Amino acid sequence: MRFLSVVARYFIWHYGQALIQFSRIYWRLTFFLFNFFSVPVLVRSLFAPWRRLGEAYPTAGIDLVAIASTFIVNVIMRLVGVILRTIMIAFGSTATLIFALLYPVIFLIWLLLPAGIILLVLLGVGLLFV
Amino acid sequence: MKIKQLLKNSPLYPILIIESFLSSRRRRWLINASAAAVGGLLVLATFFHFVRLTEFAPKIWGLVSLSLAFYLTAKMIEWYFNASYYFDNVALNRYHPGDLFTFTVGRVLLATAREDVVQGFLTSDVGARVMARLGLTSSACKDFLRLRPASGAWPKLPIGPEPVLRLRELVKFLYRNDSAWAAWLAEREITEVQLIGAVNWVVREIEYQEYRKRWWSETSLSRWPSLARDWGFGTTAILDQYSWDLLFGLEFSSNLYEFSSRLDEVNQVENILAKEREANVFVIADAAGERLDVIWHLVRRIKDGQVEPALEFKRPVLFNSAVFLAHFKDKSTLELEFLKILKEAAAAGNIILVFDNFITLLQGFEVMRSSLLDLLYPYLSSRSVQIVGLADNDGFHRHLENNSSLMALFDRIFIRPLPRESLVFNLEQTVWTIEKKHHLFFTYPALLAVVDGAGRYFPGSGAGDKAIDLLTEIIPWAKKRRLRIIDVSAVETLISDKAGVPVGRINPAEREKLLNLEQSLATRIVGQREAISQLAGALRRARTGVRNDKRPVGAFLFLGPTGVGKTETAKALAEVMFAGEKNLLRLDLAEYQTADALDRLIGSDLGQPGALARLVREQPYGVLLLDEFEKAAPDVHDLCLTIFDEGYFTDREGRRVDLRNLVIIASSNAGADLIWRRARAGEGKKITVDELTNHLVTQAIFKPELLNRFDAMVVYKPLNAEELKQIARLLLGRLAKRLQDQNLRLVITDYLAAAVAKFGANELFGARPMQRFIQDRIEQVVADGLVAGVLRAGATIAFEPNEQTGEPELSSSEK
Repeated sequence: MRFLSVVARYFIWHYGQALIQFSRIYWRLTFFLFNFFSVPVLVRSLFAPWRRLGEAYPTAGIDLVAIASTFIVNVIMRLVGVILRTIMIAFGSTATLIFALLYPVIFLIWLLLPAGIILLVLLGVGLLFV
Repeated sequence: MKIKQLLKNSPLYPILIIESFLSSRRRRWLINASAAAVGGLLVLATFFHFVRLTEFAPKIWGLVSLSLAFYLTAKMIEWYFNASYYFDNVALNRYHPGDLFTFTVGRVLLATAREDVVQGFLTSDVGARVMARLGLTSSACKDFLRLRPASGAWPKLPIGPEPVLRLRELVKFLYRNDSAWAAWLAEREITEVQLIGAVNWVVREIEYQEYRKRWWSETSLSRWPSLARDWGFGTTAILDQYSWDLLFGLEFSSNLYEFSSRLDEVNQVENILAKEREANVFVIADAAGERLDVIWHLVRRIKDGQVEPALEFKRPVLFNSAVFLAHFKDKSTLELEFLKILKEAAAAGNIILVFDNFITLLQGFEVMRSSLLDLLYPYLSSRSVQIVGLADNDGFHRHLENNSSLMALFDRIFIRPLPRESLVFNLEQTVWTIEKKHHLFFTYPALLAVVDGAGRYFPGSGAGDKAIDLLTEIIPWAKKRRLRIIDVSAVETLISDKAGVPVGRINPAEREKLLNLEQSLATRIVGQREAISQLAGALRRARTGVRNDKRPVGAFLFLGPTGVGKTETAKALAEVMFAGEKNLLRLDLAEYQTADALDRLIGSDLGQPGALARLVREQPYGVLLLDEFEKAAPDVHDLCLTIFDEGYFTDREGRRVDLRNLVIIASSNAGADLIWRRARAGEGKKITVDELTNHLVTQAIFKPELLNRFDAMVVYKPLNAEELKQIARLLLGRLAKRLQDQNLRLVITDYLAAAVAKFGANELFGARPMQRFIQDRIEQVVADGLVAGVLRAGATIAFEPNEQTGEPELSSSEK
């Protein structure tokens, strides 16, 4: 009796509460993936110099060569930053997108899982004994 | 309501049933086994496919299908359990009122048969864990259940709609309602407090294990270090040489949980560091561990992403001042490197610079004739770097507090010492780590013994640090002895070995010593039966635990004329109770009569260490003899008031000096005249303690409040001729023993003892001059005889009276 009561409660959960819980976890993982690749932070600092590397502009006098050299170094550092960040943002966004698109598939698998188990048992018995 | 009915009414019923059929360990095993079967069969199917054994293929695929079905079913059960267990916050110990009881209580109730909840508790897995933590085996519990008297009708379990019944409340209820169980536990020296403490520990351990399993929770996910999060911040190559990134490691003593007793301080540090400007703070505590603990909490919050937005992505680094200072020999390179570090940290943009010992760094710069603060000032008011200075109380007050411009830029947090229950809580978590790593098992009473022992026998600052030190020392100690279970006796043995004092239960040898204390002391102290019995009684009280733990073991005032055995009693006591006269600490307070007496005892503001502070720190156990107590300056008497009351004093450096493990004996000749006069008047006129107290107070020798602080005032009476003779025999006996080592035999006759007493002792100094007399008139004669060749090895030495004076001289047969 105990066992049957638990089985009944299981099915109520599987097609009720579990769907909400499943969705909640799924979107939490999606959000985690997005943050794992630091996408928001990288977008915010897209044009910042790579690792804050750069040179300070000369403060005394006007040395055009020095100013130009500093400017070029700083632009290169920013460019390096933009390139690397863009690559990481692309990776992160793609991974997140793929994971998000898989949601309906996994949701469907969840719905069909009890039936799938019965099918697997029938198939197994069939293959073994028939 | 019957227990079965109660269980069925609870929403926890399904998961309790699952847990009773298939414990989480079994479920895990089933999942792993079925996954392995699926994998193995797939490999086999592939193999058969390649070797063209096609006739077996359907059978293999059939087995794969069945294993997969089995695996998915096991997984579904696990998901269902986890969903009910974790999503409803059962794992976090947060329940809905309708749950009636917690999951652990449910497990106890499920194991309960015939409404006997004590039986349910002792046979449930959670109950067995609690009992194991109390050092009780499951077979002992089974024996108890088998042999216990039948219990009568049980009062109703305290289960109502609200609040939910928790395990500690259930166990408390059981303990208070089942007298047989309570008595059984009491026989095993387990109190209600220990029982509930063990329950809490086990429940917290379960919660912690469950907490770690919740990988999908926001907190767990946020602990994963995200990729590229520091691309927006600079690197710190020079700083890294002298510092340690705190995000990359969790210190041994750091707490796994946040707990309320440190929350205030951690919140304060967090708020200060999150300020827009001048986000600098001094964290001040005497124990290094306590200072760092707060920082570790902050690091954990940063790692968990549970921190103020201003501190997100921050990188706290611990700057090792000593290592840094060791690298430089001259001022300019030191300053240059330090400035580079500061510049680098500011440029990085996410550094919280934690100076592990700010005072050391400050002094190191001073030695090089440089100023750390001048270099730091430009960065203290900027928002590019946050600075945390860790310092001890004394260093802070001496070197930093008076610098008002510095204090304007720094906030201060003083760390309070943790109360005992927080220390226990802290240690519980450390023990889990130790147990897992070293395959040891600690009982709860052992844990309490560590906390209490660390505080009591290893005094000084930072009881938490000391307790953790003691725990880490237990590991190799236990491994050497092949101990796996660390119980109270193991901890007490370690403390006894380390501290050299008897701790814990009285062992047979010590029991003998305590019971025969009077006789043992009487072999050395003559004629002071009353004084000895008073002292022995007080010491027995102390050793059996019937005493105030916050005071010295005993404080006694020995009053009486010179040479009646006061000092000898102190020596004998050190010998008998503390294994040797080396444990006698002696201070002659006649040397502390001047105005600077207190400074010389507890240390001066100029940094001179105090004699008493040094003496007690070096030897915190034993007998402290304060000779000529009446001659000490009034300040010194006031210091003694504090010591007798609190068991400690604070030296000039602000450090606590603990005297709780000392027997303090103050000896004094005050009132000796009165004692003499009354002794001469006859047996019936003997002076009483009250009379003597009145005399001492009216003569303004001691304040009444000081006399009241002593556990006992012990009056030594003057010695009569017979007693002096006995002392003479004792002293001659010691000489005879020394001579025996050189193969000489001293004959101690009745005459010799009487002569030493008569010519050696006097009214003013009692028995004291006898030693000198023996030295001059016996030892010297023997030595002369040996030099002159009159006495040889194997000789028998006898003395006879001089015909004219009656004083002893070497027997004519020996001359």
